[in-house]
Parts: sequence; structure tokens; C-alpha cells
Amino acid sequence: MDQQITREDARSSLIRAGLSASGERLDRLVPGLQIARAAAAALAALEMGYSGPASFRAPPLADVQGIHGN
Amino acid sequence: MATDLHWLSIAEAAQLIERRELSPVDLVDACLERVEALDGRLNAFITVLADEARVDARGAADEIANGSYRGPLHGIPVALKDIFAVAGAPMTAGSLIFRDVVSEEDSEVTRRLRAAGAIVLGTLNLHEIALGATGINPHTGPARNPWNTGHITGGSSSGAGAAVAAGLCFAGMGTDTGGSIRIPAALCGIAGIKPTFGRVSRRGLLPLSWSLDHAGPLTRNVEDAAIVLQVIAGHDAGDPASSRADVPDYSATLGEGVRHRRIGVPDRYFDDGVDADVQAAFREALRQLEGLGAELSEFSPPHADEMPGALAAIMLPEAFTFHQSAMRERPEDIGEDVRYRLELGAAYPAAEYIQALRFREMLVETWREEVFGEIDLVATATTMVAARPIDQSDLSTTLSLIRNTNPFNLLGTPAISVPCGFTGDGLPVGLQLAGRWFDEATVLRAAYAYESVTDWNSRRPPL
Repeated sequence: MDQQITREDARSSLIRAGLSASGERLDRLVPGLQIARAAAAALAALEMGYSGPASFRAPPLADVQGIHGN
Repeated sequence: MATDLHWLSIAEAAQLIERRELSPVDLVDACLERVEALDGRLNAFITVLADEARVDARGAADEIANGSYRGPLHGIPVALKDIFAVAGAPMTAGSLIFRDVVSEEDSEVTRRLRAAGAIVLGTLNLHEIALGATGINPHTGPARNPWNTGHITGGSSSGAGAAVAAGLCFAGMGTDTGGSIRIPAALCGIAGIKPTFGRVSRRGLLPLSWSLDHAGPLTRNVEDAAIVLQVIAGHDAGDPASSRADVPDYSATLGEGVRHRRIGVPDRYFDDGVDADVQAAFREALRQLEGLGAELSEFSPPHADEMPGALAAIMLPEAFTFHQSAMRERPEDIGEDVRYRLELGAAYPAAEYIQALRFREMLVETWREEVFGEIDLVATATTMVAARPIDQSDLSTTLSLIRNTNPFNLLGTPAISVPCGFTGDGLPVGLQLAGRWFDEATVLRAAYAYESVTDWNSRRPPL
């Protein structure tokens, strides 16, 4: 992901969490957030499929077809 | 009686106590004298409960004299990281925020230790709120490494590493969210086991990240780790993540060796950038395991590169969630490195946190099939570096410490660190062995077999 985190992004994130932020603190935070965003992008790029509890897992396609009678 | 009672193992001391050749009173006095003599240099303890420990020791001695011996922890002095509740004692978490908190009741781990007859000597120093791997704490000061007091112990269970390695107590209870039991064990030259997620109750512990927190013991050898784990493991309805899995008799199978056990050595990630001294000690440990009959093979660790980012995406938002009121109301009372990590946690989008949790589920299934379907254990160096000087330990040090340990927090598998050598500067190096979920027995057995053919754990720091 190429999207750059800005100081304003960092400030907004902190404000949403109820924190205040000063200039120096924001400067330190931006690189950390950039790394975090890159790591998250790496996860998003993985093919994870559905991995929830078995009881919630979508039925196999054959079963779905069976429901519709074809 | 020997003058160096504090260097006995738990197993040795237990035999003497059971035979009434050693009184818990003498053992506790020996440890308290050691604390008095050395803790000014080591800074391992936050609160010493000397009077309470002496009262409990006399009670244990009376009980044993009356024929009511409870087992191998009866009369054994232990201490707990200062995020385990100890009834009537402060639980500061090494933080100004919790400085005035006094626990009303024992944590489940504390309760089980006491029920087994262990004597609580006090609470131990840590990285502030357990959110850091160096053990450098601006409020309590750093715990100092017994092998060189100018160096870090590693953390976050820093005081446990220092106290056990220096003979101030026989076992230290730690917690491990990204490596915080195994890192101080490795850097201080002792054993430390992170059991399977859910194996040991976290009730009564200050949480850092409830999806990743594990509790476990640091001891001077593997046999002692097995003894302590036996006592603290098992279901507790008070911890929602607590498992109902049966707890086997760890000591009973400890001597069965590693012959024909398949040990996987990752062919990438885990040895990228490892210091030469650490790498040499690790490779020699592999040779010794092979000499014991283990079958070694290399494997490619699935999704290793994504693991640190996923761990951070779970740990930091959860840590912020717990500490958010402190961050809003008293941020200036939080140390700079911890405040920075909590701010990062505050800024994670919910989707990234959830994505990381999904990744974790996928990761567990992948490792269950592709890794632990083929091998019994994974072996790595515990840390990439040995203990750094306190005044040179920074963020890069932290990354070097947690890189090899945090995958097993995400996976939730048991993992132990045992000493496997020393650097040229005389600082300990750790071997990490990780096993299948709820198979602590195999992890302990392999570590015990390795320990039995080395003398690293019998060396004592130059205090």
C-alpha cells in the first residue's frame, strides 16, 4: 500500500480515541503508523478465506445447489 | 546446613523439606538475606513481603512437622511479577497509574501457589504495565542483569529474570504477551516456559492483551519449571480463555528423552540478523539435540514475515483499550516508550485489528497442518541478541528481542527458553523450543534432555 500517513491522519486518529496530540508527538507517531499500515496491508493481501467457527461456515457449494434442487 | 541454600533447585529443596532435613523457615530466611544483600544492585523486587513470608514459612514448617506435606512447592520461596494480585499487597504494574492499588484477593496463580504451600516473598519489577521487552522502567528503574549489572535483563518480566538467576527466590511468575517470560529467561541464563494459551489462568492479572497474554514460571532449571507449571496449570472458570484440557503429569515423563522426536529448524526469518555468538550457541545446541537422537530437519515457516505486524495489530489496540482512561486523564504519568505504543494502539483502525484476528485463526490452522503435522518441535534462538547495556537499549533492541518469541504468542503454542551458552562477553544465550498446543510435556522433555547434557544452568552469575 502506497498511501502515506500524514500528521493530520495521526492527529485525527488520536482525537477519535479521545487523546490530544502535540507536534513533536505527532512527528514520532507518523512513522510508526506508516509501518503499522504497511503490515496491515500485507495481511489484507493474503487469501484468508473464511475462518470463523465451523457452525457459521458457509455450506459447500454442492449443498447449496442441493437446496435449489439442481 | 549448607550456606548456599539459595542455589538449591526446587526439586532438591523439596526433598530436604519432605525429609524434614530443611526447614522452610531457614529457606525463606536464606532468600530474604539474599534479597537484602543484593537487591539494591539488582532492583528485582518492587515489594518485599518479608514479615508475611516468615509467618507463612513458620506455618509451613508446623504443617510439615505435623505430617501434612503438600508436595514439592511446600515451603518453597517464590515471587510474582507485579501484575499478579497478591492479597493485601500493592500491585503497581511498575506504573504511576496503579501506584496506590492494593489487591483485595489473590490472583488464581497466586492462590494455586499458596495452596501448594509455596511462600510468597514479594512482587517483582517489570517493564511498565508489561508493555516492553527491555525491562527499562522510568518509574521503578531497570532490573539489572545478574551476569552484568550494567546490562538489561530483558522483559517485561525483568525482575523475575534477575531474582531467579541471582538466587533471590526459587521461581518467579511471569507473563508473556510477545516473549516476556522467554526473553528475560534467555538473557539471565535460566529456564522460562510460556504454556499454551489458556493453559494457565490469567484471573487476577492486570491484562495487557487478553488475546495474547500467557502466564508461566521462570526457574533455574527445566525440572523446576515442570514442578511449578504442574501446580498453576488447569481450568479456571474465572478466566474466559481458560482451557478444560487435561493437565498431564509433567514430571513423570520428563526423563523420556528426545530420541526420534522430529525437531524443525526454520530455514528463514528466525535466524535473519542473529548475532554471531548467539547463532554459534544455537547451532551447537542443535548438534547436541541431534546427538541425543532427535531428528532435525529444516522447514519454511509459513507467514513468518506477517506475524510481527499482526501481533502489534492485536496487542496495541487491546492494550490501549484497557489503559485508555489513563491515557486520556494522566498521560504524563506514563513513560515515554509505553505512551508511544499506547498511542499507536489508539490509532489502529478497527478493520486492521479484526483482520489481524482473522489472520491469527488462519495462521493457527496453517501451522497445525503444515508445520506441526510434520514435526514435533520447533527450535530457534530465543532472542537475536544477548543482553545489551542498559544505556544502549532502544527500539532496535526491542525488535531484536521479540522477533523470535512473538510468533508463538500469536500461535498460542507452548514455548520454553533454556540456557544454551554464553557470548564472548559472558552473557547468557537462550535456546527456544516450541511444541504443539497443550503438549507442554514434549517441550519440557526435550528441554530437560538438552539441559541434562550441558552445564549452562549450573553456572552462577558473578555477584
